[in-house]
Amino acid sequence: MLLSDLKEGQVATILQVSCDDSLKQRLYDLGFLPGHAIGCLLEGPFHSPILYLVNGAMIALRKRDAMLIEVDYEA
Amino acid sequence: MKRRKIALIGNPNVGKSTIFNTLTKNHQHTGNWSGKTVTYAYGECMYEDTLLQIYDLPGTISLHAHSYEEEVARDFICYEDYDVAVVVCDASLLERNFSLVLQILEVQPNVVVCINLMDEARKKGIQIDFDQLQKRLHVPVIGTSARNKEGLLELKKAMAVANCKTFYSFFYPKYIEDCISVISKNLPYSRYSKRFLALQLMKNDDIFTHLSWLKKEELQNLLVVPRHVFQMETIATTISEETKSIVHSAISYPKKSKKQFSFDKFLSRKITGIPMMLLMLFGILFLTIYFSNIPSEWLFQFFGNLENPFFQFLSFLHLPVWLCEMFVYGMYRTLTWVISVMLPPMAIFFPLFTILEDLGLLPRIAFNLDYPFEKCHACGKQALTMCMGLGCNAVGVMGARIIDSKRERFLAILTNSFLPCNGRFPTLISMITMFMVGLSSGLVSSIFSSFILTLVILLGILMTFLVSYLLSRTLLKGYPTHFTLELPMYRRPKVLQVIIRSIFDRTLFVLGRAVLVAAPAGIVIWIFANVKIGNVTMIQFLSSFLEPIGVFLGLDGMILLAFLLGFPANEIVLPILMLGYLSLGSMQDFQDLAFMREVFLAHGWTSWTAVAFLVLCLFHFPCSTTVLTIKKETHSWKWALFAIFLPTCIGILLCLFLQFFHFLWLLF
Repeated sequence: MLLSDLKEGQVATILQVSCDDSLKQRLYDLGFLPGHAIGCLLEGPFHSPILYLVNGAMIALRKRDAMLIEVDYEA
Repeated sequence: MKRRKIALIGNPNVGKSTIFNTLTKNHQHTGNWSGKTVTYAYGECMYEDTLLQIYDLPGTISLHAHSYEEEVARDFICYEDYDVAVVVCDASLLERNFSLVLQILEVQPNVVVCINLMDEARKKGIQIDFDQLQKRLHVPVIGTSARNKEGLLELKKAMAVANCKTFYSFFYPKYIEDCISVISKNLPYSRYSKRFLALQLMKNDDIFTHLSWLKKEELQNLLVVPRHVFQMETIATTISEETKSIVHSAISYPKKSKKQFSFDKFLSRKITGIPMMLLMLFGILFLTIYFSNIPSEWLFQFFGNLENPFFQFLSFLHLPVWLCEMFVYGMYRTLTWVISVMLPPMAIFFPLFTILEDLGLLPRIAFNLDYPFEKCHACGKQALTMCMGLGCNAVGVMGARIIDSKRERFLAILTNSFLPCNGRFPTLISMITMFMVGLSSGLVSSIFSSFILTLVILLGILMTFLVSYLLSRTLLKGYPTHFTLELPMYRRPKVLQVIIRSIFDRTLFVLGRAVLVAAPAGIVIWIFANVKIGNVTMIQFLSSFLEPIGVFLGLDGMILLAFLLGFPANEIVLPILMLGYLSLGSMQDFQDLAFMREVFLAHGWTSWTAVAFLVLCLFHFPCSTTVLTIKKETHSWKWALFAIFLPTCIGILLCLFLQFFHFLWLLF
C-alpha cells in the first residue's frame, strides 16, 4: 500500500521510494529508506501534510509526496 | 600561539549555535527550528595556547544540499581548508545524526563528534556508551549540554588537540567498491579523500566534478562502469546500516513516552489547530498591548518633562535659537516619540515571540498552514518567514532562504511585507486605540484593541495567500514542489535567558536602528517645516502638492508625505506626521495619545481616515532596509522594485475600495 494510506497510529515498513533523484536523495537522507520502520503520527488540519515518525524524528510530508512511497503494512 | 580552524557542522536544530555562542561569547540568534542560521558565523575562543577559530555552519541533514543554507554548509565542508570538523549531534536523534557523521568522516579524517543536548537525553532515559562510540568511530566523542555549559571544556580541548589522519571507512557492496577503486585509481592527487570523490562522482553529483580536476571527457570514460539503478539506494542503505550498527552497539533507549506528542495532536487537530493558532496570536498581541500602555505613558511624561530643561541647557550654551529649536522640536521630539511608542511593545513582544520560537512552535504553524499554501502553489515554510516578518520584514526576507525552490522563495520574499513588522505595530496600535477603541487603558479596551489588531494581521495573511495565488499563476508561474518539514521536539525555554537575550539582542538592536534614522529624520522634517519657499514652508509645499492624491485615497497630503519620509524606517511615520501637523498649527506641547488624537481631529481626521491609514500602513512599500535585503536575496533590482510596487498598488486599491464604501455609507 502507499504511505499516504497509513492511518494515524499505524506502523509500517518502507518498501520503495519512487520519484525523481533529487527528492529521493532528500527522503533517503531523512530516513525514508527501504527497510526502515515508519509510523503515521497525525494528519494536519486539512488532511495534508501528514506527520510521520521515522528514524526517531518527526517529519511532515504532503499527502501527494507520501503517495510516492510504498510501504508494507501488516495489521 | 597556535591557530586552529574549526567547522561546527551538524543536522539542523541540534544546538550548534548555542555551543558556538557559549564558546565564543557571541550572540548569534538561536531558535528551536531548522534553518535558524542561514549563513555561517565566525567567532574565536582560546584553549590554553591555541586560538580556536570557529565557523558555525547552517544545519544540514547530509552533504546532498537541497537549499541555499545547505549549500553554504556543504561548500564549506568540501572546499574550505580547516583543521577540525566538529559534528554536533542531538543525543536523542543519534540514528539520524550519525549518517551525517559518517559522511563527514569520508571527507575529513580529523573529526570530533559532539553529542549535545545530553540533559534532554538523560531525562528521556537514553544511555550512551562513549567509550564504545570512540572505539567504533576512532575519533573523540564528547557529550555536552551547551545550555547548561556542561562538557564544553572537554569539547574545547578536543578541538585543540584532535589529530586523526586516517580516513574512517566502511564497506559498500562489492560492485560499488569495485567502481570506487576503478575511479579512484584514475583520480589525480587532491587533498580530498579519493574514496569520497569517487563516491560522489558515481552518484553523478555535478558539483564534485570540478573538484576531481578531471576533464569532462575523462570523467565520462571513467563512468562507463554501469550506473546501477539502485546505486543511490544501496549507498544510502549501507550508510544507514552502518549507523544502525554503531548506534545499537553503544546506545540504549527506554520505552517511548507519548506525553509530548499529545500536545501536538491537540495543536494540529482539524478543529483545534487553526483556532489555537489564532488564539495564540491574539494572546501575544493582547499581552503586548495591555502591558505596554502604562510604561509608554511614563516614557512620554518623562521625556516631555525633560524637554524644557534640555531647551534651556542648549540656550545656556548660547546656541542660536533656530539651532536650539531644531534640536529640541525636531530631533529630540522625534527621537523620544519613537522610543516611547516603540520600546514598551517591543520589550514585551520580542521576549514572548522568542519563547514561542524556543519552544518549537513556529514549525507547527508551518505544518498547519502548509495545505493552504500548497493550494496557492507555495511552500508551507513561507509561514515561518511570515512569523519572522512580524519581528522585522528584512529578517523575514532573509529567512526565505529556508525555502528550497526559487519560485516559492520569491513568493515568500515578495509577500513578506504584508505582515506588519515591529516598527509598524506601535503605529497600528496607537491608531486603533485613538480612533476605534477609545483612550481608556483598561482590560476591556486592551482586549478590544488586540482583537482589531488580530483582524488587521489576518487581513495581511489573507492578502499573502491571495497574492501568492495570483503570482503563481502569472509572473511566478509554476507548481508547488515537494515539502519536507521536520518538527522539533518541544524544549523548555530558559525564560530568564530569553528575556535578557531578546531585550539586548533584538529590542535594543531594532530600537537602535530606529533611533539612528529618527534623529536625522527629525532634523530634516524640522528643516522642511521651517525653511520657506516663497511664502510657504517646504512641508506645506510638499503636503499641498500631495494633497490631491491624499484626498483621492481618503487621506491627506501630510499622511502621504509621512509615509514617503518614513521610507528609511516605518517607526518614524507617526512622529513625522505629528511634527508635520504641529508645524502647521501653533501647538507646541505634547503629552499623550489624547493630545495626538486632538491634533488629528483638528486636521479633519475621521474614523474613515484612520481605517484608510491602517490599510496603507499595512500595505505600502517596505522600508529601505527590507528593499535592500530583497535586492540582495533576489540578486535583481527589478524584483526589488516590484516588491515596492506590489504592496503600494494593493494599498491604493484597498483605499479606493474604502472610499467607495464611504461613499455608499454617506448615501444611505
